[in-house]
Amino acid sequence: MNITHDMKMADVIHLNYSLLPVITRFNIHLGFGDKSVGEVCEDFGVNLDFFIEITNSFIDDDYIPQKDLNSFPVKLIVDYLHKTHTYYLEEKLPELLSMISGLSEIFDNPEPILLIKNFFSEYQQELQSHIEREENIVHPYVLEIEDSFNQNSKDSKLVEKIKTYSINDFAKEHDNVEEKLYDLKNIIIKYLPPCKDKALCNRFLTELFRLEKDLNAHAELEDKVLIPKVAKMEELLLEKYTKI
Amino acid sequence: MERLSFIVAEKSYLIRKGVVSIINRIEGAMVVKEMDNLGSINSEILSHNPDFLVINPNLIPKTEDHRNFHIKMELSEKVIAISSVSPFRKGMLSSFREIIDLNDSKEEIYQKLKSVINPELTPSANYVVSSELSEREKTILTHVAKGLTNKEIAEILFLSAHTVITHRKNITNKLGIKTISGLTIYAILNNLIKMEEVR
Ligand SMILES: [Fe+2]
Ligand SMILES: [Fe+2]
Repeated sequence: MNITHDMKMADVIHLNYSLLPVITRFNIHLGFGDKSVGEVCEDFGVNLDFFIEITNSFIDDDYIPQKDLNSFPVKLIVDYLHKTHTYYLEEKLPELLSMISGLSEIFDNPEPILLIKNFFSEYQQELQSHIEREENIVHPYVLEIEDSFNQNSKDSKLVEKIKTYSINDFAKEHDNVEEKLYDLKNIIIKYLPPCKDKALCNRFLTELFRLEKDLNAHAELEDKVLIPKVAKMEELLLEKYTKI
Repeated sequence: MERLSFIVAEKSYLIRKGVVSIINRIEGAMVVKEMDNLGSINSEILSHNPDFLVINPNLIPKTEDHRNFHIKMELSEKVIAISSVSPFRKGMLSSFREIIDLNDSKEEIYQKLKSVINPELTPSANYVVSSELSEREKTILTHVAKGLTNKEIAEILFLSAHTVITHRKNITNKLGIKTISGLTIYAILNNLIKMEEVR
């Protein structure tokens, strides 16, 4: 069932609790009583259409967008991506790290968990630098493109920039930071020696699966919405300013 | 038996879903990625390392660019086309392993896919029956874990770089581990190398 504006927000959570972190990302707090999705979004100053598209595509891989995702401003998309990054760095990674230190207490032999720890910290660095690059280079760039697009004034510096490093160059280098996550899951599922606290192992694994799903949805938004949208803008900008 | 993985690239939603649903009903086969264009095909191939690619040739750009190339080079034996081209023009499609015609019945598609993935009918299919590593693979894994490059390993073992790469692909398929750090952990956990030996 799709999420619609007149549905109760409480029912949205009942429908799919995996949306909880997504809702938090929109700065929406729990305790919405019987308010509808539309009302809650208004209360918290959230773009309703964007909220509906994001949540639906998060829970349903085959969701058919009701609104053209291209119609949303770059600023709005970037803002959501940024909040998602913060969620990974400030919530998810620390949570997983603390689980790993919990794990280290339950193995007789410290070696395997030490390996996992090192592996995870490599992953953490990878994810961090991926995000830093997007926040420091890509996001400012796409916002600049949108600004210039809206302002209609010729900016020859920007035209040069587009020619030297366009969004498609970024797209080519954009990896999905999931290889290590995939490996980590398999190492735990297939190769880790038996551990005493099965519940903790399972919780750790569950969180890895959740993070992976979230990262995939995130990369999808970057690859399928942000990048094509910016590429189109670049194209129009170049067309406009090379003609004059 | 390991599951055989498929990537299905087809623009038409109806056709794609149809193909996917048939593949997923074949025992031991599974679609790992659906695509409606070839934009990220190379990275998807790298990250999923599929056994087969089912593709509508119309999606391949006319210009011979690197993508086109990649598909041909790495997978020509494993690429299945979805096509509505009439039989007399099928020569064009000869570079594909098998052709699913839009007019095929469910049974025909099923049979075509079965014959492609069935090892008895297709002895050339490079496919993993056991997930045990061979001695050679263990040796290579040990060197990988120590931080050696493919080229270095090839020199030490008197193999071609290409052979080393093939072995590495098989190791990754068997273990379900893609990264060097991940393979290193496996090697240590299985006493192939000691922690101190890691570069
Ligand atoms: Fe990102
Ligand atoms: Fe990203």
